[in-house]
Order: sequence, then C-alpha cells, then structure tokens
Amino acid sequence: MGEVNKAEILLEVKNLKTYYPVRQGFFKKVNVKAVDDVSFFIRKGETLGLVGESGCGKTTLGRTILRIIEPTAGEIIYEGKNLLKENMHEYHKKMQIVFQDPYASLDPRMTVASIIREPLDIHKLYTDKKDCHDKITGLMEQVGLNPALYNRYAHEFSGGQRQRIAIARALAVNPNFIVYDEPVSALDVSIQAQIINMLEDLQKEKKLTYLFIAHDLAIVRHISDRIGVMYLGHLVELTQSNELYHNPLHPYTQMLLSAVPIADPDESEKRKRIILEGEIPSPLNPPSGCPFRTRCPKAQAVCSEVMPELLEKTPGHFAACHET
Amino acid sequence: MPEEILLDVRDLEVSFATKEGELQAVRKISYTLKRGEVLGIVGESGSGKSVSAHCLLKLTPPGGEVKGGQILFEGRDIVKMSKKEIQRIRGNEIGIIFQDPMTSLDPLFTVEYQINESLRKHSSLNRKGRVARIIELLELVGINNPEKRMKQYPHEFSGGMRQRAMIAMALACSPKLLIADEPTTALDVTIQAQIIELLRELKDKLNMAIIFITHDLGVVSDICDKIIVMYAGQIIESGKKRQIFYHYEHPYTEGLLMSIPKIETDEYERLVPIKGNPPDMTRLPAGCPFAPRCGHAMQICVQQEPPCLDLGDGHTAACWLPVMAAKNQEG
Repeated sequence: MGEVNKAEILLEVKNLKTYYPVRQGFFKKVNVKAVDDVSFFIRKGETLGLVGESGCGKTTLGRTILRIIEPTAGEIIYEGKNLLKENMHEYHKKMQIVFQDPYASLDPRMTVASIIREPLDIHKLYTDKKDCHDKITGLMEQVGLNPALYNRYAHEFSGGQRQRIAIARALAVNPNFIVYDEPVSALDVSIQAQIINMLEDLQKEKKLTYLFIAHDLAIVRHISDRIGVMYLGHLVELTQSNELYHNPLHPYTQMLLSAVPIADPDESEKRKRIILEGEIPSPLNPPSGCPFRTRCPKAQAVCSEVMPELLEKTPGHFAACHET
Repeated sequence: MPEEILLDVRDLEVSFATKEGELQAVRKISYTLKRGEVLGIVGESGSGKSVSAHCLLKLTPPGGEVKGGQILFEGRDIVKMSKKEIQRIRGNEIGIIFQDPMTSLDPLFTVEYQINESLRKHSSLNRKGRVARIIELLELVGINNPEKRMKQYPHEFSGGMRQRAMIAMALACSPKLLIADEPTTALDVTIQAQIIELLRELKDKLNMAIIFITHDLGVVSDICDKIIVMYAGQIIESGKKRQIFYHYEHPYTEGLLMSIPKIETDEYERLVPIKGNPPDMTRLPAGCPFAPRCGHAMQICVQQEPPCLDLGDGHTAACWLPVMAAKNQEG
C-alpha cells in the first residue's frame, strides 16, 4: 500500500479482530472469530463495497468499525486518530450506520419527527425549537419525504419510505462516513433503485464516504468504487469493482461471481457456471490454513497448513491465496 | 394438443375480507402450463403472485376466498374439489416448496418421518420400499450420507440442506407440478445456484412442470421458459422468456428491467427507478392500476382498464399503448 497518499485516507482498519465467546458444554469456552485479522482502508469520498455470504462477518465488521461491537484486537484509525482510544460519542457525529431492516430499526410508536430529532437532541445540534423543526423538515426533503408527514408514525410508512427515514436519521448529525448494512435487500426492486440513486446523489452533494455492505453483487458492483470479499471472517480479496468482475483472483470470488444469476437470457446461457460444492464451514470449527480450502478446487497441501496473507498481487489488487 | 396442457387457470379471482373492505388480491388471471414447462411468476410484494399460486392447492391464507374462475388440473377443476379430493392431489400430484423451509418441516420429527408421511398416504409402497425411496430422494436432492441424515431433525440441517430436504419431501410422490414459492430468496448466491441447478436437473429427469414464484429477474432468466408479470393482482404481461426480456410491451415490465443494476456492464449507468409506490390494494385507481406510476400514461389509462392484448406467439400485454399505436397507424 506504499503508493497511497495518507491524506486521502479517511478510515484505516489494521489487523482488526472481533471474537465472540461461545459456551460449548459446561466448562469449555470457544471463540467464534467473526472478524479475523482484517486490514483495509477507505479513501475520502469513496464507496467501498463489502460482499460475502451469511456468516462471513461483514455485518460484524461494519458494526465494529463504529464500535457498536467492541473489537478484540487491532486498530481502527479514523482521520488519523485511533478510535479505540477516543470517546465514541464525539465520533458518532461523524460516523453513522443504516441498518437492513427498516421495520426493526425504527420504533413504530415514534413519529418521523421524533425519530430524526433523536440524534439532534443527543448531540445538541440545534439552537431553538424553530431551528430544530427546520432541520428536521430539511432532512425529510433531502431524502424525498414530504415534510407534511412530520407527525406521522413510522408504522404508517412502507418499507422504502422507512428506509428513507432511517437515512434521514443518519444524516441528521451531518456525518462524513456512513456504513450501510444491506440497506436495500428488504425492499422491492423498483424501490431499491430509488434508494440507490438517492444514496449516490447524497454522496455527491455532501462528499460522503460509504462502506456498503450487501450480498447482492450486482448492486455492490453498481455503487462501489472498490469491493472487498469476505469469507469466514477473513478478507480474501480487495480491488477496483471492474477489476474484480473481470479478473477475480481468489477462487472463492470466481465462484461467487459465477453464481450470480444474470437478468438477461442470452448472457446467462453464454456463461460458464462453476457450481460451488458444499457449504460454508461452521465458524466454531474453521478449517486450518486457508478458510476456503475445504470447498476450493485448486487446494494444495500448503493450503491446509498456512493461512495465506492478503497480498498485493497486481497494483491495487489484493488477494489472499497461495495459488495466485 | 389439449392433452399436453397440465394446468389451465381461467379468470381466477381471489379476495380477502379486511377491515377496509374487500381486497381483491388476484383479479381475473388466466394462464396455461404444459407438462415439463417452467413458468416464472414475477412481481413485487403484494402483487398477488404467491396467493394466486397457493390457490392451486387450496392453500389460500385465512380470510381469503376464491371468488370466481376455474383451475383445471388435467381437466379437473380444483376450485370445486372437496377437502378430501384436494388432499389426494396435495403432495401427490402437486408439490409445493416455500421460501422458509421451516414452514413445511416440523421441528419435532425426523426428516425420515416427514417424508415417510406423504409416502404412507399416497403410495402403495411397504415399509421397506418407503425407506428405500426416502434414501433415493435424499440422494436425488444432493444430501450426502442419506441413511444417517434421514434420522436427524431439521435443526441439525443447515439452511441449504433444509431447502433440499423440503424439496425431497415435495418430490416424494413424483408430482406432475411443483410450485416453488421464492425457494431461494433466503439463501446465499452459491447455495441458490446449487438449488436452481438441482431443480433444472429434476425437471428434465421427471418431466415435471414448475411454477417458480420470485421477484428476482436473474433467477427467472436462468430457469424459466415462460414468464408472467403481475401487478396489483393482474397479469400485465406474459410471454416466452425472450419476449419478456427483449420485446416487452408494458411499461411496468420495462421499469422492472431498467431498475435492476446489470452486473455485466462496465460503464456506470444510473439506475432508472419506477417512481412512486405500489398501489393500496383496497383503494385501487380506476383504469390501469399502473397508470399513476407510468411515464407514458394517457387520458384513457386513468379512465378505462386496458384490454389484454394478444401480441401473437403467446405474448400478451394489458396496456393501452400498443392499442393506441395500432389505431394511429390505421388512422
């Protein structure tokens, strides 16, 4: 990563580990390594996509970065400061998160205004009642909600509109970094496009930096500048979106891409399919060496012994595989 | 070739009684399905795609009622069947799989017990024959070590494996028709690819027809022969896969296809969303239900419901645009 200009970087994660202790039997405790030795950085104004299957640790990683979940080890460096030594209250003015399920993340008994007002209250971001009201209606307009709905309850809204409320709440503190954890996967396709376009507009307008976590590769490719691929707690590949699609180096990425159904009959017939055998191993009992070797067609003896490091194979293209 | 037709749905109507009045979930839909054919029903939540398919087994949710129409399965009308008659078809001639495998698997019984249940009811096999059939089925759906796994409970299976067990259960009596209601929506893409491949193989092996309900156009393009696009309880367009993907006539179909990002294109293309929200089914607008969101809406669209236009070669669309275009050409 020698060529990267330090001033460009907003967030850097170094050897981050998040382990959950799990009781097995009465006395035995084991760790689930949800995030295991993950390092990457995000440039200012960039969208970094994070993909992987359920249980790969992408959600835990997103939450650990905001210290909603405390990391076990490693460093999270935001604007040059190690967040683990800072008071997060201040940083939650700069870093926000939008969750997947807009039915679960909003209290149905709160009005739109009181939901958006909460972060303003917590961080004391208004001078008087009028200022507060103006800020809330301004935010509602920014996310495409009619300010006339100010006193409506969250339960009166559809999924897409709720996600707009959740985004307005995240924007209330005027952050410069937002983590999106599967923000559109609970929405219908026609609504997904509305939200994605809005996120892109907001990013341009406010010069925001995004970490976009999702399992839908088509959406992640569309919105991201670079994409990281996670498998069983490890970051196994990281590069530019187009490079990842055309030239995936890690066998897991290759299979993931070939499994994505293409909404075009001619294209999907042309394509060679690699059907991945088996399922993701239990994170309680991960394989030795490379986590993917149990499903990998290219696995060698060395793969079961040594965990491959995430190395820069070609400029800007990182992969953790012995074979490439 | 009338004997080729397995399922013939005619003017099916399903309504729910709600506090706000009658909700017409399915409004006069008609389609046919041949043996060995895969039909995709696409639409957004609330479009009536699931309800219309659940009716085929008389599995309408509580409060729902078939108000009219016929469902002819091999010439017999399912709508008129008694409880006993439909039970002979359910799980025997028509199988169903759901998005969440735990809706069909009982956590208290072993997988063997649950597959055995439908075999005991519908087949003439003895105990030994049934066990052999269960092992065969589990092998067919790709579950390794079936002798051991069939003794296990559903909670000992992973998500993808439960889906396979449920498919094995649905296939137990070699149904002529399999209804798959979003069977891969909750699964990861690599597992989804496995399940789709499995369904494709099974269809070829057993000459089984499949109704595949999904909102994922990628999945549809992968596995279906024919496609029905539903909106507000109606079929707004139907046709062969390529007719729908490349020669769509309805602006809603176009909107759906334009609003998904294409993973295969390099140039950044801004998505084109469909504006507005799906309609409130208890207060449907007059005229075309899609008109309030449609970029091409004309005067007539908000006044009169469009006719279902036959575009030839099995392609239909319910839209005023092609009707008006044809009129203008004549004039």
